[in-house]
Amino acid sequence: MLGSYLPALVFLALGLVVGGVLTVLNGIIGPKRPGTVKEQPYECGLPSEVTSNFRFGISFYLIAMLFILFDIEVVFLYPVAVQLEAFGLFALIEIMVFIFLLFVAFVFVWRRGALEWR
Amino acid sequence: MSLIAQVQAPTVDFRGLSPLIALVVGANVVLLAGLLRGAGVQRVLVPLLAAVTLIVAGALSVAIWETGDVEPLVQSALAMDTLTLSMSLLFYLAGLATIALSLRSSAVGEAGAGEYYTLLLASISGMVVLAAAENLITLFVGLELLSIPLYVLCGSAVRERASLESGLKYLVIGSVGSATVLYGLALIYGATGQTDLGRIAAAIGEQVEVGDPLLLTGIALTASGLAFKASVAPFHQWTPDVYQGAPTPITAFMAVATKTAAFAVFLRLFDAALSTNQVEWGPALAALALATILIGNVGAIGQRSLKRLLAWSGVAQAGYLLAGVVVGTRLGLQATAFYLATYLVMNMAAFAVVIASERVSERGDDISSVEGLGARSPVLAWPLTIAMLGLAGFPATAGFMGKFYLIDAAVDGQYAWLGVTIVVGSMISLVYYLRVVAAMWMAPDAPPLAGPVRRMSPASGGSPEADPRAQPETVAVALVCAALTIAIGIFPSPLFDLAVQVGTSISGI
Amino acid sequence: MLFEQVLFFVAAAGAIAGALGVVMIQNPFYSVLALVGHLVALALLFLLLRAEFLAAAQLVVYAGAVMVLYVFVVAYIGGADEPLSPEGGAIARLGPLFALALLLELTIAVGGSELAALESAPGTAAPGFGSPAQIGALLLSKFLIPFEAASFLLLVAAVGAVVLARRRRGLEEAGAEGATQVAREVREPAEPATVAGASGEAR
Repeated sequence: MLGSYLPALVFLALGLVVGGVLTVLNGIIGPKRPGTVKEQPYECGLPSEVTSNFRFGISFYLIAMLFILFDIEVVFLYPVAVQLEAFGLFALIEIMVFIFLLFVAFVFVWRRGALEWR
Repeated sequence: MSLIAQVQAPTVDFRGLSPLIALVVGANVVLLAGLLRGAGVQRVLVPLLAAVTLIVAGALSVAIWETGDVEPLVQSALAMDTLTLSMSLLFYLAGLATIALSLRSSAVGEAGAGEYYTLLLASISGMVVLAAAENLITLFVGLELLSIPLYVLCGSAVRERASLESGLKYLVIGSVGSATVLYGLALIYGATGQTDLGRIAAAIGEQVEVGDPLLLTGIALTASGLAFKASVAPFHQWTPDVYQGAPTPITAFMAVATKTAAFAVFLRLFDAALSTNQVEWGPALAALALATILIGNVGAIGQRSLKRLLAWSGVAQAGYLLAGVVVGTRLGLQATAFYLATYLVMNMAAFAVVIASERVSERGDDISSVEGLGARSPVLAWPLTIAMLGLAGFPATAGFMGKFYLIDAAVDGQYAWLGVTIVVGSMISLVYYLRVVAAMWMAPDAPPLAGPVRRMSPASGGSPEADPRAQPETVAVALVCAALTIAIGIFPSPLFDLAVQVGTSISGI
Repeated sequence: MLFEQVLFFVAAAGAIAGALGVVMIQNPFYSVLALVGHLVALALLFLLLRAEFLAAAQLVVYAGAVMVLYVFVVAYIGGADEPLSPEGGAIARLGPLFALALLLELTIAVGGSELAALESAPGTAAPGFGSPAQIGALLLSKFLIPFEAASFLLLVAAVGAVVLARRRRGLEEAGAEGATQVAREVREPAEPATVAGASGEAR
């Protein structure tokens, strides 16, 4: 019954093995010469080690929230897209309504400046 | 692939869906209009567009009015029957009143006018979906569409700590309620194998035993979750805190419209889908109604904040309303719908006066802020007096007719003791309703506060409009609602006729 | 068959362990991680029920996106130093009791109706069940209204997120609105007092 998932399982196993082996090998055979420059974040980004009372900016929250919304949009669009041929024009119209409402959300978010990093 | 082949594109009845389409389109227009710059846009155009949306949706609802058990739309997702449409009209009226009351509220400025009114319209559209839901999935989506905008609206005065606290509390408690409903709906689906309310009704007693434990647990969880939304005891504890902290126009909207929506879905779910189980859920809900009436009325007695007092009074009123659901009869359905309409006008009148007086008083919504109001500005004192007497159920007010109808339904449905409880509860309620009336007419003007004066926070009003004439729209809402309270009390027959038409919407009872 | 049963018990144990971890671990970061484990185990259970698309969506939306938001919020509030439950009180002690009562009730409910089917052969899913195609067909027919309402709900959520995070540059610049102006004069906190303020300062 679950035989159809075999390729997915193989893929998962391969990913785990390759990722795991490379990480472990890196730790074993890689040369270790730590220095202050190496501890710095690369070009941009957050310091790699933080104390427990370190706080993220609220901008992260907003970006993550908006990411979820448009992520869910894609999840909804995928099954409907499969039915585009069977339902024809009707599916197209309904999907356009769906996308239009989220387009309004996008315009709103953009015009309010929520996409700009502060 | 046989399952897929037989699914057909549904016929979309645009006529039946027109009020909902109007609301969604209106909400989008309001949101985009709110992005335009200029004080005129924010203060005039955006509220005007929101009001026009509600009026159009209301007109469309009247246009598609049809009595009887109407065929559900879009493969039985929504039923635009008289129950839905009458409740929708109440939502629209509450929305219009809220827009008028919000015009001078600083919460609008803080959240942004476009955002504020869009969230209001979205919440109303969720209420319509919820009231119309003929399917468990639609029901839950409607419930979320109702709730999520309200969480934000409660916290919309973002510079006020109380408002944020209110929003957060409502979010946490409301999510627990929603999750409980979802759990219950899942168990009902698990027991019956159906999501359509009509098919659930058909399955109970046929494929599923009436006393099936899975089904009964599902019913119990759904009722508990909805009780959170309707602030029925013992799920009411959030109500005073949230009502007190939220911007007062939003409190008024929640007190009236959310409760109406919760009872609309109570009526449809329990009277239409689960009516076979009435022997099981009837006594349980009756016990909740008894507890709610007593707890609400006793809780209101000691309150000094008018918003908290109205919150506790709202808890008690939810108990009265639940009596109409308990009996599971057509008379109960009619009485609940009738009482919801009267509840709307009485509460809106009271909240309008509270808003008008808290904006000019340094005491906020404390009961001392209305002391001497009768002498100071009778145009505000009279509506509050009428609202208080109406909520207490004095003769010649709408509240009397509503309670009379509910007691009649309770006695007719073999729940005479619940009718007696309503009478006892009303007697207890006189203590706190009359205390407000006495404060207005008998107490002398409150002396100016000694010592450090409560900071006049702009977010809760506090503009220098000492004269009620400076906020005519608030006074107008108060006067119109008070006039309606009296009018329904003296000439109840038009509203009775409407309630009878609402009673035809569910055929099984 | 045996493999599926083993997988079921692994996933079920994982789901319960994850859920217990969420409520019992004191450090909020590890709590979130336990929730991720719980959600992955749930996805596995969906997979065993042939709800393939649902399992994938569960991973993409919950384990992927929602948990990232949780981590950000925990990082924003800065949780670890503050104890999660400051004081006990009657509610903290009654909570587990109510949970136990609910567990008993649900056990009776499920036991009374469904355990009878334990010995019988498992139901067979129709071909195509749980596939994106079937879910798409349902979204376009029976659940068309919830589908479109969901899109409106996402719009509302975007508006709500922006309101609460106070990203209203357009408004702040327009500045002519009386109420906004007055309010701004009173207090303009350096750090937006949203989530942290509300949770930390709530009574």
